[in-house]
Amino acid sequence: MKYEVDQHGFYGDFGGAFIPEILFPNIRELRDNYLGIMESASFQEEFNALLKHYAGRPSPLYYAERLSERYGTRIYLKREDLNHTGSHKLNNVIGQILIAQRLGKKRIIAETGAGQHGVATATVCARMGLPCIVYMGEKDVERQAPNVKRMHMLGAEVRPVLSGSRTLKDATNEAIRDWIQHVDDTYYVIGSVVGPHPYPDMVARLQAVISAEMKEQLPAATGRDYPDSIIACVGGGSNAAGAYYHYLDHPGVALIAAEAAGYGVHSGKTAATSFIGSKGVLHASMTLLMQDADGQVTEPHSISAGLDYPGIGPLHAHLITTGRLKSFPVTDKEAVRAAYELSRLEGIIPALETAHALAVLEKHSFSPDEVVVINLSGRGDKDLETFSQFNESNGGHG
Amino acid sequence: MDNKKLCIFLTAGFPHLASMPGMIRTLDQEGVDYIEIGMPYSDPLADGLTIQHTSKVALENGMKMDLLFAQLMEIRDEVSIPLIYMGYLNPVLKYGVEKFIGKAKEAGIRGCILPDLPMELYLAQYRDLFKRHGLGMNFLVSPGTSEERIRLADELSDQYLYIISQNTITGTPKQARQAEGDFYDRLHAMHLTSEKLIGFGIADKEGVERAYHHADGAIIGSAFLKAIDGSDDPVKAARDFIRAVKPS
Repeated sequence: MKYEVDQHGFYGDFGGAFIPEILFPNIRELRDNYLGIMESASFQEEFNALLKHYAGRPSPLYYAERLSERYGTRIYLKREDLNHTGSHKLNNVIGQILIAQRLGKKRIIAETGAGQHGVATATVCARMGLPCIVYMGEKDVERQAPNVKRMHMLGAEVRPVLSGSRTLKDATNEAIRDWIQHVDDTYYVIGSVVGPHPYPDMVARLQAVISAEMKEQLPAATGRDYPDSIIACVGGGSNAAGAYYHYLDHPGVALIAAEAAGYGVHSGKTAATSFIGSKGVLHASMTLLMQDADGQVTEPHSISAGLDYPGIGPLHAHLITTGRLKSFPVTDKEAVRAAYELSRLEGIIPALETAHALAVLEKHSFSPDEVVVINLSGRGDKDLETFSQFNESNGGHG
Repeated sequence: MDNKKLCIFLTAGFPHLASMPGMIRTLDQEGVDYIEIGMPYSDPLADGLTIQHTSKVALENGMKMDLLFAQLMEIRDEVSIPLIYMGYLNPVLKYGVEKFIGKAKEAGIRGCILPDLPMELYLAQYRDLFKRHGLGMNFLVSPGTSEERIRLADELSDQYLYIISQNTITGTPKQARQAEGDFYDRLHAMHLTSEKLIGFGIADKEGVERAYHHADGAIIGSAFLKAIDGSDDPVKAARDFIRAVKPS
């Protein structure tokens, strides 16, 4: 594969493992074992059974008739919002917890932004009887309150993070600090295709079930096993990585990303990393990140807690800089508008993160016979408060 | 205790933007053996609350790489104490590694510690450059570090080997004395060539004496920064702190 990670953990110029020495034994243990475990029969059997009977996969590939009519093309929604816990995040967590068990780890930590990864981790930890600690920025604890309640009900401990911008970046820093202090017994479940190698590759492989299912599902609907375009939102980029994975080397498939532009790419209040970011190290990975002239990480802004992140996974940094992936910036306002549109046209309330992917339909035109798959990464129950507040203060959408 | 070394970590730009030169003079006068100059970073993921706080204050004060070098230039002819630059990799990459090396040398810095630069990467990409310009590099090892990697760190470190006595972030009080002792014994038996300084969690004279007993010296960061934080006279607070922790 052309876009596969190399033996040093790099995708072209991006990736690697820029970790403090204390974490080296853990990273090496994971690096040396993740592929073997994932390819083992016992893992495959347990992983697939849980995906089917616990998560409820395969997720439907749904033809969105009225949305298609509205945009004059053929739009299919990959319904990750119907996955147990309400987003694609569970796919990755099930896999990583099975890996953690096989490595003999007894304590699970995670970071979360929107709370979807936190809920997924709390869920699988409850299922497996493992203690779970979730780090979440204080700002996100407030704006994603329903997910905090879910994590509590599932028996997880949610630790609010008060440093920095009190969002996903800072929750990730704090999770890494926890890991440094508990290297012997703790497994860190990273929720996206970010962090040191092998996390980006491991998470992409675990989310690859999304595009594997698309390949199975597309022929019945379209007569061929690939779409013309795949659209996904990218914060760290795990749902996008999963939706693109089996098509990365397929020249017939256009890969499209939506990044959170906040108030606008050049407004100073944005999280559109690939547009204003530059090369550097964030969370132990060489990637594109938002930084000032002195190499200090700058504070992102997005209405969506899951996309409110100043970096992007190294795979995506590589795909974008090589031209394989075309990215569009989507503002808070455009995302909310797209969320209302999907709700009113299809009766599906998408997550704020996912709404960014839907907003691409306004920015790029597709021809009538094109097949466009949008990865509907999560559902919007958690965002109702934000939607209604934003709607009221911006004059309404419907 | 004459042959033992006391190393103090400070955050450049803390507590005030212009604090560092005076602080270095004071530490030099008080007989400190090394100073680690901490370049503040927005996301110090191996640091505890104290250095997170001092880094944040220093950045808000306006500390920048060029200013750090300019402040060191002011005093480079006055002080002889070896200065070690310590900071995260990203600001160095953004500044440009070659430009950083040139400026650091000019400002009198002897060596660097970049905790998130892995040894393999240093070897493959930067070691020749640092050697060519005569700027040192130093690495950290912890109880979980394998013998093979400790030997590599020993070989690659130019000023001293930074021994983290327990698996933790900076500023965490010590626990598990026994395991710590076993680690020092293991290091001792390896007959390493570098000076060995113990850091992370050393806060008082007792901790310094224990480090002197087990190794060639002690590194204090968080406890020192806490001592000068909020003081009306940070230089005096620094002097008092050194006198209190330095074994006679």
